[in-house]
Formats: sequence, C-alpha cells, structure tokens
Amino acid sequence: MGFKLFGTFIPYYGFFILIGIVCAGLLGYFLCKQLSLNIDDFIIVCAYLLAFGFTGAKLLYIAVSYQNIDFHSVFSSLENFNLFFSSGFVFYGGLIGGFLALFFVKKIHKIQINEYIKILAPSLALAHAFGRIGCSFAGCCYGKETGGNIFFEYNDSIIAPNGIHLFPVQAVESLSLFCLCIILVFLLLKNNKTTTHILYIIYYSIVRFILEFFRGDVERGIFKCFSTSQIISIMLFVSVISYIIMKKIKNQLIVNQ
Amino acid sequence: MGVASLVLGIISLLISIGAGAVGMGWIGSICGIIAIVLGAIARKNPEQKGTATGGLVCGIISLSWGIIATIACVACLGAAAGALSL
Repeated sequence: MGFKLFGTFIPYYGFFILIGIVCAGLLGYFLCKQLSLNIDDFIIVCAYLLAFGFTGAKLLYIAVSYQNIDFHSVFSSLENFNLFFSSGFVFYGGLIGGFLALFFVKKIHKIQINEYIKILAPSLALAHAFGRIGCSFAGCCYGKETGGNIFFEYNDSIIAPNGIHLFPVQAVESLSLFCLCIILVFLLLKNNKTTTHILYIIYYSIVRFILEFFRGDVERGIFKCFSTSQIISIMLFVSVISYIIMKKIKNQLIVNQ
Repeated sequence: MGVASLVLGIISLLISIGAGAVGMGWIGSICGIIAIVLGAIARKNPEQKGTATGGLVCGIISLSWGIIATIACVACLGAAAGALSL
C-alpha cells in the first residue's frame, strides 16, 4: 500500500513514519532550546536510538514469528531478503533496543542521558502517533470486526480483510499517543524535573494492554491468553512501579537517617 | 572526524539513491546513521563545524530516503512472514 513519487514506489508506512520522525526531531530541537540542552548531543542520542531501535524491533519480530518465516526462502534471492529486511517490526522490540542504546551512549559518549530522556519521551510519542496513522493507511495492525458506528472498511488492502467493518484500533492508539505527547510537553515545560519517560511507560503500557484486546490481526505472538505485547506491557508496568516504590523507600530511609 | 562524516555522508547519499531503486536503501541508511554520529561529534570542534554539518545533513537526507523508501510496515507481523512463509 503506497503511492508513486517521481517513479519510485513510496509505502504509506515509510511516508508517515518519516513525517513522524521529522516532527519528533523538530519537537526535540524546540525542547532542547527551551531547556538549554546541547543539540549535538541530542542528535547523537537520536542516531543511536534509531539504529538500536530498528535492530531491536526486527529481532523481536523474528523472535515472535520465526515459525511463520521460511528462512530458506528469505536467503534464496535478493528480492526476498530485501522484503524480509524492510517489513515486519515490533514496536516493543524497538523500545527495548532504545534502552540499550541509551546505555551505550552514556558509556561511549559520556552524555548525561537523564536530561535527554525527558525530551525523548514526548518526541517518541509523536513519532509513534504518526506511525499508527501509517498503519491505518497500510491496513496493518487492524482491529476486530465491529458492529458499532465508528469503523474502518478496507476495499483493496492486501493485509486487512476487505469489505468488513473493523474497529479503528490504529486511529484510537494514534489519538491516545498525540494526547500523551501534548500532556508530556505541557508537564515538561511547566516543571523541567518531570520524569516524562516514567509517565510515558506507565501510560503507554496501560493503553497498549487494553487496545490489544481490540486487535484483529491474528499473526502475532500469543502466549496463553495474552499477546506478546500485552506480556511486555505487564513487565514494563511492573518494572516501573517497582522502580518508583524502591526509590520512595530509599528516599524515606535517607530522610530517616 | 568532520571529513570522515562528510565522506561517509556523501557515500550514504549515493548508496541510498542508487541502491534505493532496487530496494536496498537500508545500506545507505546504516552509513547515514554513522555519518550523523560522526558529524554531531565533530560539530563540537569549531574548526570542523562546516564539514561536519555537511556530513550531518547528507547523513540525515540519506537516512530519511532510506526510511521512506524501505520501511513498509512496523509491527505488521503478518506482511513479510505471510509472503515468505511455507
């Protein structure tokens, strides 16, 4: 699903993810200026995040769907290899890869990551929101069949079922991410000590956990009654809540001493 | 480092445009990311700022082109797998 530009086929997803990345970069630049942070360090962090993010997203995709992939076919021709390399990613894999990237940036470039994470959280939410619009156009990550008044109906999609009323799960997720971005920017500008990355993980893990119940695409990793993304949502949520509680206890102990 | 960034940026741009036509723009994107990192580091040195900015811009353009022309669908688990499955 896409369109032609100067004779080159442009997939909708690639187009919207690029718009998302450009907008996220501009938002990051604006917040860097507002919070008096170094823009070059921000660019380094973003470059690492992109590299590790896409690698993580691809690796998790392979991990959850390796049973559906015919690896002989993948390596049999250049066309198949390119198709395999350029499609099929899992967002949560990208998020985990992103955390690894931050670790390496801190180790290699000695950049104060804590300051930049605050800016990255709303930027990531914005890029992701555009990505979900791309999903809607491409017909992937579609919702379950619905009898409600709000629905998507595809007519010529090669991924989503055509001629059926589907719950617009991509649009709902996109809208929730735009809201998250606005909330995080507002909180950050109000108080630059706001831990936006913690809020981002709590908000997104809850939203994703709920919206997974409305997803209709079946070829996703399923474990017991939960999808892979729901399990990762639970793990992230529990990790963050544990981190907050431990930090509170630690601060309390310091105050008592 | 500024010169390295500029050279790598130009190479990544050429690869992105050339190889992008046969669906291999992602190779240019990898070079582009390295050019961006080197460019951003070199920009901290005032003497190399010009060449570093050139490398940075070339890297960003090639990365953008790689993304727009290559990435078909994120989180779409069925697309590629369906096409390549047994």
